[in-house]
Amino acid sequence: MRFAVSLGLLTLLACTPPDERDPEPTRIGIPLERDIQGLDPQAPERLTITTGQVLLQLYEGLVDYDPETLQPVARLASGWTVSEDRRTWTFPLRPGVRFTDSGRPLTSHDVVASLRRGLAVLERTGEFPGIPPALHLEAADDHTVRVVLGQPSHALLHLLAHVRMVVVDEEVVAETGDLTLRPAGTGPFRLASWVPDSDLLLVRNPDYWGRSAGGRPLPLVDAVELAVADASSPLYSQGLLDAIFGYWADPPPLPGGTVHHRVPWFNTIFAGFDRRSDHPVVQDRELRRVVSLAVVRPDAASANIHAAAAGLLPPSLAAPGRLRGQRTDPEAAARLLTRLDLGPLPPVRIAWLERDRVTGVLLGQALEDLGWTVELTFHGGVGDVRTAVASGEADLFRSGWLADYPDPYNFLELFGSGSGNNWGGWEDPAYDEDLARLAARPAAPQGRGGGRGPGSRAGTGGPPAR
Amino acid sequence: MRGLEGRLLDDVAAIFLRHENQDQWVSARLMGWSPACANPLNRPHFERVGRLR
Repeated sequence: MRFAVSLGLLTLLACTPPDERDPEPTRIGIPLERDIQGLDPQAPERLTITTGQVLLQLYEGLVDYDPETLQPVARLASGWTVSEDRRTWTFPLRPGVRFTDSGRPLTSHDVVASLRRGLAVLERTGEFPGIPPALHLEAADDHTVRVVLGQPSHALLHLLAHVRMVVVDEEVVAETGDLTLRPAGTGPFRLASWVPDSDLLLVRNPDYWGRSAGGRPLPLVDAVELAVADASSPLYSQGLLDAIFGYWADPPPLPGGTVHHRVPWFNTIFAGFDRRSDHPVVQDRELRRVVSLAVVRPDAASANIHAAAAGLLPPSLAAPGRLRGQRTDPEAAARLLTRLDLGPLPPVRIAWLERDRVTGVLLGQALEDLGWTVELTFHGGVGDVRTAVASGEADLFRSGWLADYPDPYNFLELFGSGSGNNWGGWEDPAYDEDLARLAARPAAPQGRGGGRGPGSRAGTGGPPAR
Repeated sequence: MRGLEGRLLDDVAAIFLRHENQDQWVSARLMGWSPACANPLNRPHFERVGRLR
């Protein structure tokens, strides 16, 4: 019932603006889970989601996602065209865009330099699954960017929408080295102040090009205050924060007229096998099957995102065995193990993440229930788990992935032999071939993030400007 | 796609504990806010959010 009510409210409160801006200066307050890492979108080695969300108010890229449809739409580009062979993409720049810091007009040379800077980071960090190979960037003229691909790719628009690929003022980069303390973008807001570990104040960019659906200048508010705060913060009772995020069965109310929404979060957490380990649980395919059957996924999923989230899980996880191909059956695991008749096994070493302690314990218990000895080690950060795997200290390890763009390729690529996120070294040439075929598949008009631009008619322009 | 799923699950590479499409609550008193605006897969569009009067 609660969900039904929320959906009703959503219809009224879609992402369209109010009819008119408030005549008085307006401000909204948004909580931050933690402070941002800095103001340079291409500097941190591992960009946090929080940092990315803040930086996307200060910077923008050629392409962004429509907030309602999640389809790629033109932003700093005014649209795009694609050649018949689907390898050459041309992006004319939106006229009249200026950098907020210097007032200098945006040129294609800024865009190309920024995209190269972003691409270098993504290639190094492996943050983006499916970077098209042999990607060439060039300024066709001062106001047109051209991207030439070695082969067609479904992922180009998603790549250009990535937060690492936003456009920065190259003159400021040349002057200051990086933008950690001084943003230089073209976004709807500019930075007014930043008090580390406390708050940031963003104020409107008066020269911003954007217009609302009703034709009003964006942004609709004059200021956004972002404060490091959790649900217990007194900033809520003082009326200074206007939103709250979390996995609650019953979300805590905000003062005044609060509405609650439930939104999807495309993420996966998994236990990987390190294929370089010589442990039979890793090397023996039947034993891997035993482990897979032994884990009760709904329990793990529920525990992982707080006990209260049990009622929020999608129906596909509500009962064991209902995820197709992901059967959960501890009794079948025990029967299979008995049939294999392998005798005692060495201890199974598991490297897990401290903040997901409960799922690590559940996995360990599932294996102990099979009669095995388990050595479970918890690590403080994702990087520490990765280091433990790379050092040969684990047979099983915890990993996860938050989708960068709305396409299953995000998750499938995790197990490609060339993936920077394939910690476990899982390798299958046939799987790699299938992945390459998928990556080269052109974006469809609907359903694979192609939107109305690339998949529709070659050479006839991208989607309308927002 | 079907072939990929089959191969991945036939020779287990990993045990998935949490699947896509889990849900998160957003409570807001902002006119113009929508779930899509808050979807971390997407990004918050603060420039399109208005203040509740």
